[in-house]
Amino acid sequence: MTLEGLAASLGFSSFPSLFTVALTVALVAGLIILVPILLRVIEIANYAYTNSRIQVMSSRIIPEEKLKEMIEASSLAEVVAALETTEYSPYLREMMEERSEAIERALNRHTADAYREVATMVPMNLKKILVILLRKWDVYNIKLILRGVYAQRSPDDIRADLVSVGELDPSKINELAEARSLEEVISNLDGTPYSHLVESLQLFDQTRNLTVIEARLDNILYEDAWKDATSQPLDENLLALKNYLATNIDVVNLKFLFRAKKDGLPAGSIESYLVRGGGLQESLIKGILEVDTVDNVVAALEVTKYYQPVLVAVPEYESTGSILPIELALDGYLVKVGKDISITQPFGIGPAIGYLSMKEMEIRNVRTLARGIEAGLSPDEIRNLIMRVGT
Amino acid sequence: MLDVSTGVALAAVGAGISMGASAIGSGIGVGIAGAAGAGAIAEDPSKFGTALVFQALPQTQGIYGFLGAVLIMIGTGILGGFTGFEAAANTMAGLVGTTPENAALVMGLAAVGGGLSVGLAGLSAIGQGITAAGSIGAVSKEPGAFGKCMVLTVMSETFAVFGLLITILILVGLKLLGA
Repeated sequence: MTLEGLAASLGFSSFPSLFTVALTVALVAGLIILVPILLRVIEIANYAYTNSRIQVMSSRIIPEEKLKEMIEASSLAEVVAALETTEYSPYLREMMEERSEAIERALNRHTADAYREVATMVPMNLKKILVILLRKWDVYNIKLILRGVYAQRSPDDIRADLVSVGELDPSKINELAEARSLEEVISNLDGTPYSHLVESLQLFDQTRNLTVIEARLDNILYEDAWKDATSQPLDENLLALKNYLATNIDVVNLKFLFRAKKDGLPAGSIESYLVRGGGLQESLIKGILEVDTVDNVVAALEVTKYYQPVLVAVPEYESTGSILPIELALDGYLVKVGKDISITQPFGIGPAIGYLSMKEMEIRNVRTLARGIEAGLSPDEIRNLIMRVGT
Repeated sequence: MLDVSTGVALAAVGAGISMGASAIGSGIGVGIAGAAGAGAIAEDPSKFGTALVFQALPQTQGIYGFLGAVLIMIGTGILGGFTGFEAAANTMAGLVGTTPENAALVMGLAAVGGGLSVGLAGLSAIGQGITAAGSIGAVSKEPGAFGKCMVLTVMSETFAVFGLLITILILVGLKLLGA
């Protein structure tokens, strides 16, 4: 059969008209297949710049080998010298004295700048998600202000330690630092998500323990974040955030439960401090509330992803009697989850979550070792306080 | 004069698809890799070399598309206009024992087939660009991963090479090239 014959048998006047129709159908079908692919490609292209930049920023995080060297330092001057080769260098040059507080301020200033940069560079749709993560720094600032006001530090002293990268306006943070009483700080929080703190003031008046206000702040932070992350239709980015937040809430709750069980607190006094939400089932949390010892809490976790990381820290807990190794293991596991998200979701919120969690670990470790060296702790003692990425 | 206009038109469409589709693929791929490269350079200008190497990889599909289009134009003789195509159609008709009109149509369709092969295979540059973008980030963070990332990025190239190979085989098989 000739091509003209084929065209005629299909009802076309000539082969070119058959070819034109076939080409048009192929083009339409091609477009139907290609358009969704191209939309996804455009979405990926949006993240290419940001995520590559964040990867470079991540490469500057102090490596474990350098941290090990810093732990061996015999003075804060040596720590500062070691930090001179890191990205903290410009901030350290402004240090007037070699004290751990001055190093912490340099760390905080660098952190504020780095986080602000990440928040500025991410695509518009990620900004809202990132803000949920950066709220942690609002709570960090409010806690610093509460402690500062309680210890009657001057507003300038308090301001020097603040990291203004959260959701609250910097002018609001400054206003809070000006307050001269806890009541004033809390009343100035009116109109912010933290206005509910006023409910904890009464409890504080009875106990004179700031922990009750700080615990309430954590509850507000995580419960609001959980609500925000779960109340919207879940796309890939929100799903990754939800996964990270769930682990974060679980870690906060488990750390609290371990400590409470170690101190022998009754279930009734613990429950109100636990954050609602997260990945652990309510029945499991209730079961843990009823057990008496740390070992029983570990056993109750057997069915969860937290069992292995906690189990690794149990021998150290048993030999030292301190709950810290378990807390460090849980914090390390959270960093691992953040790191895993950055690997599994390279085009999206992943690298930002990975960077923020690694950076938090770095700041915490440098702060710990600076304080440890200033307090005259031995390298072995400091090593036991250092946080590592979990397994 | 033979009625070879349909064949000429199809040959031109084939050459156009070869270059156009692969240029879309390369353009998008290079764009994505370039954005990642710009991000890395913004933080660390010394990453320019790494970024350039990975950004260059999705460009090859565009080169294959260009090569495919040139081969189609040479094989069908349309570089010489109607006369060139007519001469090629006559030669082919003699070789396969058909009418020059049929030979012209077959040549045109062969050109479209060859163009589609290398052109659509050129869209693999989009995937390569995405891998290259990820690799720029990975190598910026861990320079030791350069070799491994390069292997991963080059993988997409295989399909572009297959596409070009099929185009050449169509042209050679139908004696449009090398006859």
